[in-house]
Amino acid sequence: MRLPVNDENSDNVAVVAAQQEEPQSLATILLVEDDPALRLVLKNVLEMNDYTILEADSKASAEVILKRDPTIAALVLDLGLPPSPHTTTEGLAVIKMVVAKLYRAKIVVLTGQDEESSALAAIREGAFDFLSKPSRSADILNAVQRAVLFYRKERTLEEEEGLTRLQINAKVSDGLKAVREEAEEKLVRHVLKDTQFNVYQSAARLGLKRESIYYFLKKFGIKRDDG
Amino acid sequence: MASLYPYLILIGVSIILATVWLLGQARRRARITNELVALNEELGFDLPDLLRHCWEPLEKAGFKGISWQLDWFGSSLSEIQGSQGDVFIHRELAVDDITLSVKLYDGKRRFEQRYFSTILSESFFLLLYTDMWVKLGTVQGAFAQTAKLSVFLQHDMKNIVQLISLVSEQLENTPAGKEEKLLNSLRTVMPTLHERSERFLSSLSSNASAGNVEPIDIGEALKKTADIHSLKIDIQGSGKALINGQSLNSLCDNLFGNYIDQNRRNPEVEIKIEISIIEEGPDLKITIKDHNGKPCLWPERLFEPFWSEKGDGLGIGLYHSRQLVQEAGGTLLAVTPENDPMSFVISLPKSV
Repeated sequence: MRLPVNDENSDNVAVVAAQQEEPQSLATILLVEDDPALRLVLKNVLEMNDYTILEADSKASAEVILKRDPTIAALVLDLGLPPSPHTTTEGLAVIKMVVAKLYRAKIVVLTGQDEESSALAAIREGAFDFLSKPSRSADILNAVQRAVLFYRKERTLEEEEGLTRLQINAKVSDGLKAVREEAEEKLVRHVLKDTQFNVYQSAARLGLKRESIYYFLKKFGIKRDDG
Repeated sequence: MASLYPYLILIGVSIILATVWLLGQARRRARITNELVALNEELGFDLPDLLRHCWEPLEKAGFKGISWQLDWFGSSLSEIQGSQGDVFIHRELAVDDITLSVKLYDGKRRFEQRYFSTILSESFFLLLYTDMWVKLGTVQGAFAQTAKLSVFLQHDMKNIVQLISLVSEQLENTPAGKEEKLLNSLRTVMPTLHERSERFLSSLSSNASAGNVEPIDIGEALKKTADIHSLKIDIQGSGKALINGQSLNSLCDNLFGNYIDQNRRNPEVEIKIEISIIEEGPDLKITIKDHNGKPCLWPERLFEPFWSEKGDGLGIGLYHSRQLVQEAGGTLLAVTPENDPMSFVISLPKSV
């Protein structure tokens, strides 16, 4: 006996089949590159390797996307961005912004700027990896894969063990006080961001009184819209 | 009193004669100074050449001889002309990699002659010093421009090479079932790559002849470039001008690029570009103005090659644009009112 074909069911089957064909995204990557042609090719390379790609052509658009999508695991960043595409100013400003706003995404720099000085500056500001143009797609994919792995593992440590990774650039000659203050500021900002600026919860998490949080807010000039 | 008249007349005549003599001497020295200046210009402000050829006018001025020693970027040169003696004016000049020691030999001179000698020798030393700075400025400028150009070209070239290498790798290792996606992306990438390569080439040959001119609809060309840059423009009027197509594209690119850069620096201010195209005699006059733009602070620098407002641009965009327009037999002007946004006015021969 043949069962009548149910149109609704056949649609569902098609949807399921399509979902099965479409591989699951490995991670969301933000591509920050001002050259539209190169951006498209890089997007293809990463998409063909099962990454979900978001695109930005400037610091401003990267900032908007990062704010909107907290699941971004890594940035592939060109340092030469408008309005000064032939210097590293804007690219480094993106790294500073990501670090300052405590986004967890790892930054893979892919740039055509002078290799030695750019690499040094990028790493100083907090880049995870550095590749110079032209790079092979395998190298780009390896770097992205490592960045995603670190992003994931850090998230796991955070969720399972409550560990937060803070990056501090310290000069030994500045002494312990400077390091302590930077660590304090980063930790307070981090917790405030996590609690969506809830002072009560932040105080509880940090084991402090609320007054202390207000003191830190004033001391470090932290505002609600910073993150 | 009357007995004094002959003496007074004698004194007056002596003063007049002395004045005439002094004026004559001053004129002679001024003529020799001018001769030295003209010689320097004729020799292209070249210091070694000036030193080799300066003796003739200096001898006319009454100097007995000249000796000089020049360290010219590590090479030593020296020469003695005329005779040497105990009385001389000596000067040591040094500018970076150039040092010069020069002695002008003089006879024993009286008051006014010493004065004239000093003035002429100072003018001569000033010429030598100016030549040293001219040379140094030219060398340093050339190095700075080459370095800047090299940074720009390298950056663009690296992007092009990166793009080509990624595309080649993708073509070699296309995953099964992704061929259509790759083809679609190539359809978008290749024209852009072609355009970028053309632009790269044109930046390398900015002095090359523009090639054939043809009647081109200016409004359409401006619109096309504005679309590429996602720039909204409002065009009033229309007309065709005689210009090379590639030159016109570069021109539009450079002019719009200026507005785009400004907008990226001040993204909160919306660009409001209005363009008018009108016929004016044998020409087509195109006026481009961003009504929300800022007044130009550096009107005298706009067309100066290798100068950019923030120091981060190559600084040849507008200079190149003006050259392209001039090659087409037109003019490009910037109107820069003190309290109003600036506008570009282009006149091109219209197509009849």
